[in-house]
Amino acid sequence: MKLSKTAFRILLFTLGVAVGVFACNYTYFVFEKEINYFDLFSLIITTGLGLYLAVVIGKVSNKQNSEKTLLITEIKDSIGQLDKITKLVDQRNYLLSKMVAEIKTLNEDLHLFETIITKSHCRHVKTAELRQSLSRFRAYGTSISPDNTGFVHLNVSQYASLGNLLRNLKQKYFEAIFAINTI
Amino acid sequence: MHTAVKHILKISTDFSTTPGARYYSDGDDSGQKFYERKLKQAFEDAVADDEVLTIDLDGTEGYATSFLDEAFNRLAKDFGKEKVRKHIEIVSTEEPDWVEEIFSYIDEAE
Repeated sequence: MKLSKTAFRILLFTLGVAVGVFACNYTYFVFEKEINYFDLFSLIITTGLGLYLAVVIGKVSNKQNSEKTLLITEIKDSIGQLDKITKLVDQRNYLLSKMVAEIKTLNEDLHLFETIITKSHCRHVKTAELRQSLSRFRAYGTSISPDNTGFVHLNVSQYASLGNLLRNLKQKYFEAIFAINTI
Repeated sequence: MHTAVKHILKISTDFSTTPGARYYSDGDDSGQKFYERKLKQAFEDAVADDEVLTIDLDGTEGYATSFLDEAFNRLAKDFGKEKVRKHIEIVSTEEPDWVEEIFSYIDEAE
């Protein structure tokens, strides 16, 4: 039978009282009948500190962890998009319009990431290198002349260069994850 | 009382939702075509009215660097960097980083 929160609290309190009565009257323990005010004060302070740590600091910590999780999820989604682009490049022949559209999606996601990170507690994580890396890849990846049907045919050198730019970009994404986790 | 004329060129509706590469030989809707058939005239009209031409980049499937470089680099070569900087405004809410990049193409024109 599922207990409501209130019923559970009442049960817990009753149990506490029962344990206290039992301990005072039916065990071998001897309890002081007089209150030691210093010990009472110390108990109140310790309990208060414990509650403060649990409630306030815990709340802040949970909020920050939620923000980190959100930011890292955004980066992982972008890495997924980057993997799509890598597959396109690996084909060595791709429609320029398709590559342009995929890069636009990645760029829009990066803009969203840059916006939300400034509103989070991770606002000091630098995104400039990530932005520069994407710009370099976009500049090279979309400037190779296609044939008159719109298809780009990569030669060995172009394929290698694009591969390097993609790896560099992926590295920047992972560095952003590490930077967020360090905070 | 002079009413300012709004000069707006929205690439997605005035030219193409799928801008291409650099030259006519590279396929449909190239930067060369955009410049020669749309941008140049729109810019001349804005300059004639001493107004700013607002170029809206939003709404397309994306841009190749070569497309934008061809269009704006040529604009700067034909009309001069200072005049172009004075009479154009680039707008993009989808990819705001293009704004600075396009002005770098303008600055690189010789």
